[in-house]
Amino acid sequence: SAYAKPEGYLTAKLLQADTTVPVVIKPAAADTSIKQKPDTASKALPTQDTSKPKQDTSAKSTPDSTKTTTAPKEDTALILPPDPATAKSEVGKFSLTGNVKDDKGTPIPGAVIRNKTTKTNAQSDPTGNYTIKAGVGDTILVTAPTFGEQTVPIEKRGALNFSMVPSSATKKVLGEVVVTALGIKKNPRSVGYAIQEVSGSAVQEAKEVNFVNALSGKVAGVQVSTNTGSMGGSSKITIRGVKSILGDNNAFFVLDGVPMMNSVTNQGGQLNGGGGYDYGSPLQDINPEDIENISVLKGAAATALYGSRGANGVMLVTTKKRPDSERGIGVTYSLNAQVDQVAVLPKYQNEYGGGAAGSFDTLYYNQHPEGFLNEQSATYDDNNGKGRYDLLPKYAVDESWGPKLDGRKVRPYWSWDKNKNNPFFGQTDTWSPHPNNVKDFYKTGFTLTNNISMAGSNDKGAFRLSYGNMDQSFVLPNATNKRNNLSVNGNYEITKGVRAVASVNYTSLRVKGRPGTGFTGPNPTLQFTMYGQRQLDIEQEKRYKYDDGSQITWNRKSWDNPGISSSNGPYWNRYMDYETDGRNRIYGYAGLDIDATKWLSFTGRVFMDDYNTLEEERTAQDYLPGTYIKRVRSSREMNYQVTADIKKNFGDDFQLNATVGGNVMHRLWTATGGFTNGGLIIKDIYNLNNSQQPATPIDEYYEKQINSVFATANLGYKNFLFLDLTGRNDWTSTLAKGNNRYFYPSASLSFVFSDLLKEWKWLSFGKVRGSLAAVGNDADPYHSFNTFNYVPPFNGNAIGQFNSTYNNPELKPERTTEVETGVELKFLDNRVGLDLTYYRRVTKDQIITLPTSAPSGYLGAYINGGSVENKGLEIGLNLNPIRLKGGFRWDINANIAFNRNKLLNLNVPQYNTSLPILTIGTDRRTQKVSVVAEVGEPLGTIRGTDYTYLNGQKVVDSAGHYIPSELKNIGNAYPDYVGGITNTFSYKGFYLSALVDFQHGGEFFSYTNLYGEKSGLLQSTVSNNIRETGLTVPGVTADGKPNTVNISAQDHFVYNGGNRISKANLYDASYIYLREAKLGYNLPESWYKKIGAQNVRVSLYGRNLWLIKSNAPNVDPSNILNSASNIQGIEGGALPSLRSYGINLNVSF
Amino acid sequence: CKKLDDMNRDPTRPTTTEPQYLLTGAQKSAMDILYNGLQNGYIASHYAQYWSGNSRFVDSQYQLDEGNNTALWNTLYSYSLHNLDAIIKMNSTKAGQPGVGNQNAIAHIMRAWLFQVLADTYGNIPYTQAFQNETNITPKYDDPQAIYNSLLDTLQAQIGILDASQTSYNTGDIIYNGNVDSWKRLAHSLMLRMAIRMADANPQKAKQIIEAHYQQAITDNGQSAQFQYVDAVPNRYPQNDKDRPIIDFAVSTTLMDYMAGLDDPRLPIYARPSDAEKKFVGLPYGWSTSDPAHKSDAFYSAPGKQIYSATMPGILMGYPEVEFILAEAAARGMNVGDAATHYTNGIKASMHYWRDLSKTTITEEDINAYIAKVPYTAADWKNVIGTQKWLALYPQGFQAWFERTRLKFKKPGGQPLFMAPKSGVLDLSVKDGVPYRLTYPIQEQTQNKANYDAAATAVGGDLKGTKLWYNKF
Repeated sequence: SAYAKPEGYLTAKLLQADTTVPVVIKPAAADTSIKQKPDTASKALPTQDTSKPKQDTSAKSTPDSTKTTTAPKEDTALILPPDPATAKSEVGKFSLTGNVKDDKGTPIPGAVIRNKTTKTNAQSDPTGNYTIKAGVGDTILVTAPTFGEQTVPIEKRGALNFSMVPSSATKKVLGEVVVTALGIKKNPRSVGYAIQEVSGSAVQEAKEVNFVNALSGKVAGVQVSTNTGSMGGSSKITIRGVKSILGDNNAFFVLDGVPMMNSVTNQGGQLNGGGGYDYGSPLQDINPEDIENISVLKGAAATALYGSRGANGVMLVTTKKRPDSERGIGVTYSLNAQVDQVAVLPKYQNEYGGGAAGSFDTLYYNQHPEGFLNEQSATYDDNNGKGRYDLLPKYAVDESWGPKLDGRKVRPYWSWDKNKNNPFFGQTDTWSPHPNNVKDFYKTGFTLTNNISMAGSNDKGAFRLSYGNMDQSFVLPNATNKRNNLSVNGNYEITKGVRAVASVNYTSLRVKGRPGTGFTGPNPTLQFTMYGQRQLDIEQEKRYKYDDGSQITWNRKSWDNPGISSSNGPYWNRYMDYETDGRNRIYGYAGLDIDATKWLSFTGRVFMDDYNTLEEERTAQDYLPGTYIKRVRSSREMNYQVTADIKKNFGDDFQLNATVGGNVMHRLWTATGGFTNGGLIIKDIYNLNNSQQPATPIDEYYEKQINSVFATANLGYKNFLFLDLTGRNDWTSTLAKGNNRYFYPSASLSFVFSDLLKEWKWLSFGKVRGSLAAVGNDADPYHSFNTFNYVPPFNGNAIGQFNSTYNNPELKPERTTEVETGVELKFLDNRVGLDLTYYRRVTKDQIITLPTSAPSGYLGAYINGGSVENKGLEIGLNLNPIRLKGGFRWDINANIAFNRNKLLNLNVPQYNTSLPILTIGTDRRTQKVSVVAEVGEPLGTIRGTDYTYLNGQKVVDSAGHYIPSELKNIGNAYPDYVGGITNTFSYKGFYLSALVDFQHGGEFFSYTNLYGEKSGLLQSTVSNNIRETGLTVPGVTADGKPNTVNISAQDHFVYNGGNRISKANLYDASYIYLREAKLGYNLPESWYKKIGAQNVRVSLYGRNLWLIKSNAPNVDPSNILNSASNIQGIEGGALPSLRSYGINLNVSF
Repeated sequence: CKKLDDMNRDPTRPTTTEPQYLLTGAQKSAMDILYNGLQNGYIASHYAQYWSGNSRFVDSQYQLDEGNNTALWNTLYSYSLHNLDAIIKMNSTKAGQPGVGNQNAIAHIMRAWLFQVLADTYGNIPYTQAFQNETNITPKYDDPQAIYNSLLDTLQAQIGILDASQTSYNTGDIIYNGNVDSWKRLAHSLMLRMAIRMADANPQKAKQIIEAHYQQAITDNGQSAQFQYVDAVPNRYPQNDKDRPIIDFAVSTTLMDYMAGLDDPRLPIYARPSDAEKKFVGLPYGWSTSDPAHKSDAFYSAPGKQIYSATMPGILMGYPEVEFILAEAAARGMNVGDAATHYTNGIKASMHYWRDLSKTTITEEDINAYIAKVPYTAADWKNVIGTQKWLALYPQGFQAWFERTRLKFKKPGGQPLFMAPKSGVLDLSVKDGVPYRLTYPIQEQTQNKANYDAAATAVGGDLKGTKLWYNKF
């Protein structure tokens, strides 16, 4: 396995003997950041197919794929980050000599030998010998017609011989390795399943705080959902659709072999549009600048070696291990500055202010002189003997069904509280619109990221140090997100054939002021979009407290009661009721690689991922008693792994690569802390001891272990036919003895048929592949035995409470089987590349919390049951329509993925029963809209009420209101297809790329629209003069006659809206988005030569630039995620999405 | 691998418990849900027309919030009744040990109380096949009259089992602190409650039971069954406003105007003056805020401070209710004494209860003057007793709602007391101005479909407008 890529021990000399170096050229589409399955056509020997770090000092070694790179060919001008085109000029050139032969030892005359560093050329003579001026550190490129290119750095003086590999079908040879499960590197030819690689630059230039979000639209079959408005919020990453009805469906991340813990620990209500903070995915701790490459393993065959953990697909992240420059000590600095702006806000109405029924309250001086400065300060007098009075908006009403904003004088909420020395006491204000009062609340966010790395290597070893910091000031007031990353990795050859490797990464995250999500006070959209008063002046709202510290809110109870009716002011929320959180994380590995013989080697590794998270949530003591919640979460996962790797050739035609190994995974996680009860004693002090009544402790403990043995073998025939077999056996602690052992096999076949069709000149490359695999999943801990819950005692009496879910000692692992087949084709000199994959996956015996009828005693039971089928098609297309000699080049990289899933059955053998339908989650507020699994229907089916129809017409009741139907299926949360298209133009150091991603189909139920309309805030509540004239909804009465009842606009949204008829606020989630645009420039060497830099790259970028097409009003349908859970399709008051612009500077020395 | 197996046992949580812990849990969970604002407020006190919703007026128009309905059903079954069932099962292994008989009898009495609440709310409910989760997760629904008969038999049996010479619960019984005699009185009283509810459906049986048990029932406020909440989180009365003002409800004009018209001494306890005008103003029931005449919430009276007090007791069954049951029984010709006396006793008991609880001054003169305004009238017994029982049951929304639909009473003299929701009914099955039952929680349609379907048919259609067996008018 290849957790570290040993650097520096490969010398040119060692290449001489029988080397057949698979030359690495980034494929044509490399600049689009995505490496489609590379089209290798080199007849690499088996030894090059594998991941084994090539410590072998014998002549068999081949360069690590990532090590040798070519400069851009002359007909391209691509920027290939990180790809310094030139090495330092050095004095001390010598005459390099050697010969060029083919793989049978026949000399090749006329081969071009180019010193890329000095930009000089030479040619081989008729006996294959050549001479060229060169120095240590220079890079030599050898090309010859009908043979693959080779690029080799010169490590020392001495002869350098090349053995050229014939290129297939006389085409240019492109060779590469891909990283597969357990970090095993393979020649892509030998891989019998879909695999896609993404280079680090995809997540480095156009940055996202969580690098995962930058993958959206870039990989076929990978769907990344997030909510950019939630600072550092959750990302849901699904590969090939959801498979598990109730379990986790997120991809598994492995970084340099370290399984990365990525559990989102949000509170329950956060998931279904309820309240809470979104603490986000711990994966965001990874420093994007350290990422070299991400390998996406999609199918079961690709992930079977990960056993139960790979069931949802695996993202293998490989970090940088070497200098960006090719030799010596290299230093790279990068600077990224980005501004964030709110991109999509709802369309608000600005004609009517807060209140109800279009009316003001009145306050007469004669009745309440204490409410006025003096009698004359009262604005109105109707001369009816009642005296002078003021008009009072209905402060306590958090809706905008109030009077028309006609400029009348009214007493605003901030004109009271004489006893608090309010300088504005008694003043009036005009009742007029403030159209930008929401927009102006959000500021421009700013994120600055610095990263510096240093790396070096020599004959014995290599190291890389990297330090990065990210400092984000968010679009919300008082919201910051800071991250520091420090990483060190290295390897060293202790003695011949024994290499030590280690890596340590430290991350510190400090966050303040995340917005609340869903239906919760600290979510700014709650009072701007779902409830609220439209006429408010945001400038006045900035004055959110009096000198005595008490709050001034627009939602006061009444003129003489400053208490809160239901909503704090927005600035009080930001500055007084805020959360903070932070995480310290350390992860990495240490181990040894030992080469026992030429064909056998061993590796041992210890992997660790350990973090502590502190979450603190505060509610200020004021009119409310105040609360403080503190949670300290600790998580640690250790993996101990040993493998033996075998590489052997049998004759010329057969090659075997095999690995056997074992792993012990141990995970321990806890949560401690507590929350105050009965309010705070002293205000503004947040400590669990500052609790009026004893704080309730939080104290949880979980532990889990999986022991595994695994083996894999890849058998190759003549480098065009490969059979790959894997097997893994897991023993898990979370299933009871007898059910806790399970085996995952896989088999895949790869056939590069183009090798047999060399006369088909138009075909550059062709491969078919197929695989079969079975993987599975175990349970979370502690679901086999029943325990009692802790409930605070009642007045000294302990309380016994059953767990609401019945634990089950008979649980078995859930099982997934998958069949996958695909074809990779390259045509017309690689101008057209096509990759097709079809898969069908069935996941059965799912471990689900079966909701059970409450009268049975429990609300649920852990059981095995249900089968889900996912089948789909993934298409990747690379086009290179223009490739001019002058250096201009246009590349198109497109991907699209169709996934269809279906719940095949919900059989529960243990209870000898089967269910027709299972509810995954129900929205918290209307309690009507559920995400369900129904037999015969796709997962993610949305159920709710519809209109009732008579002959196709909507039926109304006698009051002119629509009549809701029974609950029925009204939509599906998951799309029909998703994809992305990247266009890249490059010319002499410039490049311009644009990513458009899209989703077609899928629906969501929208609180933004439902409550925004019900509360009279959105533009739709005033359009067509409906407030003035009322409306008669189209429909018929039960006897078929047209509806003639005119109802008020408010009644319309109350009675005909989503509270009663879910369908009324169900929207299409399709979108087309200009997700990313980048303009990059490799500065000319002369510009930076003076400062000693080797490479300077500047790029400008934008993210989430333009929502080109959407059918959903008032929200960004690509930005509605509440959480990474399976409760999707319920938009619980989505935070506005952000648009970002940035500049990225990268300098290598 | 033994080590792996051990690892899956949570070392930090208990696998055993004690009957008294389960009892406290059952009592508290049941009271917490029956007096929660979402259940007692948005459902029961609406349907009893004590309160009307402020901004969420659609609940007053009978658009049921399914989450509140589900929580009621789930909590009573999976928590309260489950605990009681577990006590009985746990004790079955200790037969003959001291106190076990009394412990189980008390658990059975509480079980009868809660099953009746469920049966009166929904009609057919799972009963005989409940709490068999290891073998049966789809319990069938039983006929409510059969359940009544079984519960009556059970209560009768417990009266025989309860033995004051033995211990019961030394701790854990918040309602009666383990007092066996008190539980015995409650068992008799609950039999009266069941019997009077079936007075029109099965008059013979009602008469037989009431006559047999009325003398052993609760005879003063001190014997009432109630769960005394304490002012400590999370053990406060569920609908208290200590942490946050409760702005959801206003007292309905139905209650307010009737009490104000009689100068009812309980009015300042049942309601508080409006924020805006410091006056007692009721909110017309089921009124949309889109009506321009609808003022701000601050202009309407919220329920009284006592009703939102942290230490408000959760009432299981009070003495006034017993007196009103007996008044009705007498009025129906049962041999339980004088109807007028029971009626007067009921009013007095209620007055005394609120006087003592809220520590306000209500003199005997006040009470007598009040009774003089609402005298017992035999010919109008249903309205006279019904109205006063309704007032006395405040804030026990569920019992008041059941009595409202059962007796269909009006003001004494026959003027309508209740109103249809001012802005209309949103549930088209509700044709008589008030629901007769709650629909079954939605998830029963999927988790227990065959039995749900059978129950929906048996009950006469799973609709809020479907009359239950005890609704004969």
